[in-house]
Amino acid sequence: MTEYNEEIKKLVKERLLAMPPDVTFSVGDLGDFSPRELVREVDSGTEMGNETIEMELNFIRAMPKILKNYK
Amino acid sequence: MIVIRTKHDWLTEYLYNYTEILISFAEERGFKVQKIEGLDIKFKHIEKRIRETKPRCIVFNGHGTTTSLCDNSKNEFINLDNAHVFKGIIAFVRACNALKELGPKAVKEGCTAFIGYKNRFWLAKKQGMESRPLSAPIAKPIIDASNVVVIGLLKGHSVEESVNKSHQLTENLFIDLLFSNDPYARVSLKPLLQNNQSLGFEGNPLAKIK
Repeated sequence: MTEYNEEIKKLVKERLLAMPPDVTFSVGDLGDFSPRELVREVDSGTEMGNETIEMELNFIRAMPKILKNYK
Repeated sequence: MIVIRTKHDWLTEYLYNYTEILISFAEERGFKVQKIEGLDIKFKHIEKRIRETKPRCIVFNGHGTTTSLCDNSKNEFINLDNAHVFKGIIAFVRACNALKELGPKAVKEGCTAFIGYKNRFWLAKKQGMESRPLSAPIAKPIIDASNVVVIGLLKGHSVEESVNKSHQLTENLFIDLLFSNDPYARVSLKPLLQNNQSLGFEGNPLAKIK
């Protein structure tokens, strides 16, 4: 399982906590999670936590490419 | 066209409701749509329906793994051992991870094209919107970007064109959501992108269902 450094985890957690609290994410068979529950998953280094980190990193990586095409 | 759709948690219930749009769209264009739901989601039943009706396209909604698709009890009903069931068919499989191994195996066994997701399918909702999935503002763009693949196929576009239409719609929705003043709009962004990166296909890129 991938190990992420603390700076990355901190960034991801801050971004999760900036979301409205009354939303739920469903991630296939891993279940349902509020933003706060996702923060706990990131802290605990679970599979769900790692999925969440990857989602945030994908978002950050993809944004410049999409905005580049935007005129 | 055969639509196989599970409904046993809010994720599958949302997807179930959004397939109504696809069913209506297909019927308006003259496709005969068979729905397979509930306890009918069993391999033998599905195999029989396919043998009898020879569909050009199958749409599946539900949970999946890298090697299987699951019924309402989360039991596998299609896996690497019976992936031949998709022979001669374009499959759109809205399930986690199935494009990784099940898709390539199905194509090896004769599936015309297998469109699906190689990673987990993400969905998000605002709490309290459970009874109104079709007007759920967070979920709608995420599922619309997925539905557009099937709409593309039904319009006569090729597999590759239909998948590309989803990528294009994702980019357009992304811009709209990013610049929205609604704080809930931005919640859709990450699942939208995650699913977009996971969407792909195996098989013939030029295949069409009509």
